[in-house]
Amino acid sequence: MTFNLLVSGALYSSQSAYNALRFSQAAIADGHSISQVFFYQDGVSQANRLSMPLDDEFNALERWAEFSDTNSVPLVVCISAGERRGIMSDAQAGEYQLGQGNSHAGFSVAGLGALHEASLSSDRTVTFK
Amino acid sequence: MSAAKVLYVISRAPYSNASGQEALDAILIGTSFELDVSVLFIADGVFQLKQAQQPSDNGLKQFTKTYKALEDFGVEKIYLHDLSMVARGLSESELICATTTLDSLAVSALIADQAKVFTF
Repeated sequence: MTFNLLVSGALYSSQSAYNALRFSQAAIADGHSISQVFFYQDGVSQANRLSMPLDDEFNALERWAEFSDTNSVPLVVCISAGERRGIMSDAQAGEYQLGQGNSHAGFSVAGLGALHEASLSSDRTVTFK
Repeated sequence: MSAAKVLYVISRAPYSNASGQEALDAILIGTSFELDVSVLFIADGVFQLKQAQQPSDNGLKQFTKTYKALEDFGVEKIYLHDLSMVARGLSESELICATTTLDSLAVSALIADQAKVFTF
């Protein structure tokens, strides 16, 4: 089965990254696949490359990047939700003349159409708040 | 092939967070696809539809007006969980748009009938 994930919980404050990653690993171990992880609402904060948890804490950013690399799963940040919350690529920040962006290079940026396209081409959409 | 059934579940009250606004953004994008769209208001989400909201007095945008316009975007299946409404002291006459009220069993059936569900 192909799963498409919608992650809407904030970095660190919520357990959404931990739950989504655990779910993904279990799904892949069971022979399923993950088509895309879409970060929406407060979930866009997961892409902030400046996040720096303590050494003994769960590092969502590192885990997302590693997960995406290992399994070739695209990580996509919603452009409007990100801009509303100050999560931008260098290109976006440049467009607003805000200097450098802060989104991690492992995440790409797209609109809500990308969420629907991935959802419609997958068997299930699972939301992690 | 008939259009895929997609349900957007709105479960939080307006203004205390941006969930409703961003659910609406997602629904409006969804209407640009060939989908059979339904919207369900449940739990605190029923407060989104309450009449006489006056957020603009306090400098907030009254985004909930857009729910009334959903019909213009071809969204005709708007559902409300009756128990959530009654538990919060609301009645159908206090809502800003017409909805179909569903009991808990009908909500389960609605969700089970969908190809995709987005929860906000």
